[in-house]
Amino acid sequence: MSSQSVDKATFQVVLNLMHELWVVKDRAAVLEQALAEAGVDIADKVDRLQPDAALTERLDEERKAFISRVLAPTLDAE
Amino acid sequence: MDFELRQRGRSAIDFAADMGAMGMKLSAAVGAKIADVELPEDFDEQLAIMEQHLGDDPQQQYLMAMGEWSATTHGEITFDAFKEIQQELEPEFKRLREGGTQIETRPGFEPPDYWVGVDFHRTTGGWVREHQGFVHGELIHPKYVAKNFPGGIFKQRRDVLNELGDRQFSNILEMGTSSGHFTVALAEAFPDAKLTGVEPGLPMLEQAQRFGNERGASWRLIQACAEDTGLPDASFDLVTSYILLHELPARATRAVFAEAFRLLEPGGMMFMSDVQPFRAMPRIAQWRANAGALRGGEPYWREAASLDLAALATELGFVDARSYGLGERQYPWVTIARKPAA
Repeated sequence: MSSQSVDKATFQVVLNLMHELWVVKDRAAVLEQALAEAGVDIADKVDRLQPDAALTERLDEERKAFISRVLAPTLDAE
Repeated sequence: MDFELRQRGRSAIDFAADMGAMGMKLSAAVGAKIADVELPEDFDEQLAIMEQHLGDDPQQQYLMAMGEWSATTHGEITFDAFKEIQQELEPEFKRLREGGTQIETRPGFEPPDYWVGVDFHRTTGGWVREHQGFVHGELIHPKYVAKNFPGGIFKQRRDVLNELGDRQFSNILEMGTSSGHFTVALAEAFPDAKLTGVEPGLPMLEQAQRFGNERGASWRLIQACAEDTGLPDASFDLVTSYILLHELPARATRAVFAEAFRLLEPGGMMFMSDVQPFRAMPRIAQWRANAGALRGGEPYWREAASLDLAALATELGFVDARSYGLGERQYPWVTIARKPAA
C-alpha cells in the first residue's frame, strides 16, 4: 500500500467514529442548556428537549465546522 | 404530523445531512480534475476510462468511501430516530387510519419480479419494510434529503404542475404514490379533483394515508402496480407520476404507459416527471449519473434514462407527446402526452 492510498475500511471506521463523536458533542451542548433550566429529570429532559432557535443555529454552525475540520485532510489529499 | 425527535435521533440525522454537503465539496474538487476528459458514447467505456483517471486519486477514493457511508447508514440512522419515538407515535398512527383516505388491498396481490428484494436507495428492506413510509416521508425526505437538494424537494413537486397550464382535472390517478408527497402537491393544485393513488409498497401507502387524513382529504389509495392497476378503462382525465419511472426497467415503463393510455378518457393527459435522460446530458454528466446510480441503489436508472419517453408515448397511441427538462438544471424531466379525442 503506497502512502497515498486510502484504506477504505479504516475510513469507514473514522466516519463511524465521527458520527458517534458528533452525537456526544451535540448532546453535551443540549445538556448545558437543560442544566441551566434546572429540570428534575435531566436525562429525560435532554432526550426530549427540542433546541430553541439560538441553539439550533449554534449546533448547525458547529456541526458544519466540525465536519470540515475533521475531514480537511481528504480535501487536501493529492 | 406533529412529533419531536429525541436528541440522539435529531442529532444523528443532522450530522448525516451535513456529511452530504461535505461530499459535495469533495465532489467539486474531483470534478475540477476531470472537466476536460473526453469520453466515448458507451457507458461501460466511460466507467473504464474514468477509472483510469480517478482510480488512484485519493480525493476520489475518499469521496467514494464517504458516499458508501452515507448510502449504507442513512436508512438505519433514520430508523433508529423513529424507534426512539415509535411508541408515542402509535396513537397518532391509529388516529390517522380513520378518515376519508382509505387503503384498498387486493387478495393475491403479488409485486413484480423486478421489485421484490430490491433495496432501492440502499435502504434495508426497500419500500416494503414496516414503517418505511413514515421514515421516508417524515424523516428522510424532509430532514435529510431536503437539506442538500437543489431547488427544494417539495417545491419542485408543486412547481412541476405549472406545466399543465390552466387546465383543471376532475379524476386524477397518481402512479407510484410512495409516501404521498406528490399526492399532497396534486391536492393543492387541484383541490376539487378526486385523487386515486396506486403503489405496491403498503408501508408507503400507510404514510400517504396519514398525509391524506391529516388534511381531511378523501384519497383512494390502492396497493397495486402502475402497470396493472385493475381500474376501469377511460376512468381518469389525468394520469401522472413523480420520480417513479427511473425505478422501473424499460419493459415496465412501456407497460405503465400502455396502462395510462387505457385508463385515460379520450382527451385525457399523461404527465410524468422523472430524471433527465442521458441524451440531454454532456458525457461527463452521463458518467456521473450512471456511476452514482450504480452505487446508490438504483438498478434500473441506466435503462430508464436511456429511454425516449415522448417517442414511447407516441408509439403507444398518445398525441402531442413532448419531453423536456425544467429550469437551469433541466430537472425534473417532464413528459406530457394526450390521448386522442374519440
